[in-house]
Amino acid sequence: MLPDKTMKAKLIFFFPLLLLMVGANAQTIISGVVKDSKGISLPGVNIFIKDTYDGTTSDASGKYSFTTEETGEKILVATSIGFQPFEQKITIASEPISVSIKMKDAISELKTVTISAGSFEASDEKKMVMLRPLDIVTTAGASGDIYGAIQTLPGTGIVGEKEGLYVRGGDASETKTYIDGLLVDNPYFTSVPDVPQRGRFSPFLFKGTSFSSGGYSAQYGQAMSSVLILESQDLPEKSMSNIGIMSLGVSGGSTKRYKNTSIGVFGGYTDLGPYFALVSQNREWENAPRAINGSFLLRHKTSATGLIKAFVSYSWNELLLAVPDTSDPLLLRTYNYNLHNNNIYSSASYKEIVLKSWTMNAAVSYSDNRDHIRVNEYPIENKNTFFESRLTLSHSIGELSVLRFGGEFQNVKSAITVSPVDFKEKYSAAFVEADIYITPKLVSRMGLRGEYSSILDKTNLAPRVSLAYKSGEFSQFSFAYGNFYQVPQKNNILNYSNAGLSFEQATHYIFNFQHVSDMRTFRIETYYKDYNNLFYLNSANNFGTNTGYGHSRGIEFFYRDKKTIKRADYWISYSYLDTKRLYNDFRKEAMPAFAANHTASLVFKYFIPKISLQPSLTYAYSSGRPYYNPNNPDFLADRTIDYHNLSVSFSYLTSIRKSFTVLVFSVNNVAAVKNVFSYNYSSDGSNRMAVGPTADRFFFIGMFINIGSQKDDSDKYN
Amino acid sequence: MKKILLIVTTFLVSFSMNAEDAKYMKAMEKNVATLDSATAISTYSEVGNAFERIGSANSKEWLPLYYQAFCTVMIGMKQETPSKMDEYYDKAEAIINRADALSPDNSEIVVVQSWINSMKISVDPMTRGQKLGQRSGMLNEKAIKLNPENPRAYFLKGSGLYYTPANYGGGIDKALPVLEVALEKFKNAKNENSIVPHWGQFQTEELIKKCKKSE
Repeated sequence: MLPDKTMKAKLIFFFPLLLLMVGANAQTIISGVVKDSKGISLPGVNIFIKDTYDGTTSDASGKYSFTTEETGEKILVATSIGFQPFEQKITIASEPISVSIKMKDAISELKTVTISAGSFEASDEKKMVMLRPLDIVTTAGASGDIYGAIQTLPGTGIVGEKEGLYVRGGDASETKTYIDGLLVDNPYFTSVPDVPQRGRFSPFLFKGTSFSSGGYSAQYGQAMSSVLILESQDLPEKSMSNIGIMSLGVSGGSTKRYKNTSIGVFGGYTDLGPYFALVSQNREWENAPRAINGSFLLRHKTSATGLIKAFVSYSWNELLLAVPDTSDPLLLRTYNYNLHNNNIYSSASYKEIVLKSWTMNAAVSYSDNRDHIRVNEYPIENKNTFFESRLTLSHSIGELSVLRFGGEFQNVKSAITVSPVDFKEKYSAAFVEADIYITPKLVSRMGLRGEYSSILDKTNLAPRVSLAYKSGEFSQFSFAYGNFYQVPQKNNILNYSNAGLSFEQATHYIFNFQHVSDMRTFRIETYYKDYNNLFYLNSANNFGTNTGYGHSRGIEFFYRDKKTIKRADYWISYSYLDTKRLYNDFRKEAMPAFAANHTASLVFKYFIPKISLQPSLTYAYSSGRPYYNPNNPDFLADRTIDYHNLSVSFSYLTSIRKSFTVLVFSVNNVAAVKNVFSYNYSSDGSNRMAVGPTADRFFFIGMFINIGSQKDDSDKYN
Repeated sequence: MKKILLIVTTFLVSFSMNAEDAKYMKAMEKNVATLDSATAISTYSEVGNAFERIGSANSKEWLPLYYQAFCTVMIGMKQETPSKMDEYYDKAEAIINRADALSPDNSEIVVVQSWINSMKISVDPMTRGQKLGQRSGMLNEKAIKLNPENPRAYFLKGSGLYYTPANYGGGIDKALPVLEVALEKFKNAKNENSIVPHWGQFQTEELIKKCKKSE
C-alpha cells in the first residue's frame, strides 16, 4: 500500500489524462472499393469498424470512404445481402487507410448446385423445385390422387387398366413408395381386374413429394426403376377442421394444435353406387365400390429440434364386379369377383439433433393388409403383414457437404390360400452416402448400399454415383449412375422356390440438363437402363430362373412456364421410350404391354381472380401399346390405337360462413374418346374384348370447407 | 482514499455510459428521422446499414435490429424477381428473430414478424397463402394481445383484410372498421421518445381514403 500522498499525486496526474483519453479525437480516413468475386463493383454494401458506429454504405460505383476516431488494431467488416460477411484486421494510426474489399457469394440454396438427375421434386420449403404440393391437388385428370399427378411428369407411362407407376420401361413392381423413409407395402387399394386403383394416401398429408425416375439415392432400395418419396407434414400452424362433400361420398377431419403437440383425426366414406346409378359404366358392377377409412395423426415437438410423428390409418373397402370369363369362346359368360379389403398402416418416427451436429432419424412402421376375395363362390384369402424399422444418421461437413449412413430391417409375411407355402422374408440393408461439395457449383454424391434377403439367402452391393455442375445462374448439368436390386415378385418366388432365385438387377445411366428460373423451367434428360437377372419362366420346361434381361433408353423433355401468359401456369412433358425385355412368361425379347414409344401431356392452369375461379385442363397422349394376340405368331407385335384424354376441372374459391371453401367440378375425358388399353382374348383366341376405361367420362363434384378454429373477429370492429 | 477512487471510477464509468447512451440516442434519432421520410431504395439501404452498425455496437438493444429488419423488408418490396424478394424477406426474418430473442413478447417485433410473413405470401400467393397466411394471422393476433394499444398491429390487420379478396374473408367492408380503430390508436399513442416505433399513421390514413373512395 502506497502512502496517501503519493496516491493523491498520482491521481491528480492521472485524472486529466483519463479525460483526455475520453475526449481524444484524431480522425482517420478509411476508404476503398467493394467488388464481387467477378470484379464487378458493388453498391449498397455496409462497411464499418466492428463494434463501433463508424462506417458507411458503398456508392453506385462501389466506392466508400469514412472517418473514424478509433485507433489501434480493429476489424473492418463489410456486409451485404447475398454475400458472405467480409472481415479484415486493420491497424488505425493517423495515416489514411485504403482497403479493397472482395465479397464472396453467400452460400444460398439458389446459388448452389443440387443433384437433379432423375429427380422431380415438389416442395413448399425449397425454392427451386419443379412443382409445389398444391400442383398435385389441382391437376385436372389426377382426381386428387398423388399417382395421377405424377403421371403428368416425364418418364411415366399411361397405363389406364391398372394402378401403379410404370417408369421408363419398368413395370409397376419396380416403383416403390416411401413415406418418411419407410417403404409402404400396399400404397394402392387392392387390385381389381382391369380397374385401376387409387393411392391410399391423401396428398394433403404430405409437405414434400420427390419422384425419382432413376438414379436415386443409396438410402432407398428394392426398386429397379423408380421411387416416390413422400414426406409427411410437420406440426400444423393452428387448429382447424375440414369437411368434404363429394359426389362419391363424404370426408372430414379435425386437427387440434397445442403448444408443442397436435392431434388430428380424419375419416371418410365413399360409395360409388349412387353415381353409377346416374352415369352409365363400361363394367358390370353388382356392388359398386364402397370404402370407409379413418386415420389418426400425432405430432409432438420434444425440443427446439426434436419431432415425433405418429400415424395410424385404417381402411375397409368392398366391391362386387362381373368379369368376362375368357374360357367362354364368345366372352359372354362372366364370373363374379367380390373383394373385401381391410388395411391398417401405422408408422412412427423420431427426428432429433444428437451430439451437436448429427441428425438422427429413427422410424418404425407396421402394416396389415387382408383381402377376402371370392371368385364366384370360391374363396381366396390373402394376408400380408409388413414390419420395418429404420435408423439414419446424417452429419453436415462444412456448410454444404453431408455424410449419411443408416440401416433398415423389414419383416414381410404373406399367406395366400391358393399357395401351400407362405412367403416369409427378412430383409436387411445398410447404406452409406456422402454429398461432397467440391465448390458450391460442383457436387458429387457417392453411395453404397448392401442388402440381404433371407428368402433368397443372397446379398448384394449396389454402388450409386451422381455428379452435378452448375453452369450458370439458372442452369446445371447432372449425371447419375447406379445399380438397383430387387427381390423377385412374391408369386414367382413361391412357385419356383426350388430354383435358387436371386436378385433382379438394373443399372442406370442418366444425363440431365436443366434451366430453372423463377417463372420458367426447362429440363431435358436422357438415360439408358440395363436390366439383368430378371425372373424368366421357360415355357418349355416350366422352370423359373434369373436369366431374363432387357433394356430401356429414351429422352424426355419438361417445360414449365408461369410467365408468358398472365395468371396462367402450364407444363408440357414429353417422353420417348425404346424398351425391350425378356422376363416372366415372355416367349421372346419384346416391348412389354405397359410401354409406349411416345407419351406426352399438357397441364394448363389459369386463375381468374375477379370471380375466384381456377379453370384447369390436362391433355394426355400416348402412342399405341403392345398387346398379346394369341393369333399372331409374332409375340406382342400388335399395337393398340393411340390414347387421348382431355380432362378439365373448375375450382371456385369462396367462403361459407367465414370458412374458406373450394368447390370443384371436373370431367375426365371430356370428349369421351373410346380409349383402348389392351384386349382380352377368349382362351381359344376366337373372340376378343377391348379393355378400356371403366367409364367413357368421369364426372366429379365436390365441396371442401376449411374451418379455422380461430374465430374471425373482424365483426367486433363494426 | 478508497472512497475517492470509487467516486472517480463511478464518475468515469457513468460519464462514459452516459456518453454512450447519448451517442446511441443521437445516432438512432438521426437515422429514425431519415427513415421517417425515406422513399428511395438507396435511402433504405443507407439507413438500414446505419442501423446494422448501431446494432453491432449495441448488441443488447432490440431497436436497431427492429429498424434494420424494417429497412430490409422495404428494400425487398422493391425487388423485381421473386427469388430476390425472398432473399430480402428471409434476411429480414433472421434479423427480426434476433430482436425477438433480445426482447421476447414485444408487440412491435411481433408486428414485423407477421408483416414479413404476409410479404412472403405476396411472392407466391397460390403456394404459400394457406400456411403462411395462418402464421401471419396468428402473429398479428399475438401482437394485439401483447399490446392492445399498438396501432401498428391494427394497421397490419386492416391492410391484410384490405388486400384479401372478399371471397377469402377479406374485403373493404371488413378492412375499414379495423383501420379506423388503428387510426384512433395512432392519435392516442404516447411515444416515450422519438426512436420507439411510430410509423404507420400516414399509411393508415391513405388506406382509409382508398377504402372510402371505392365504397
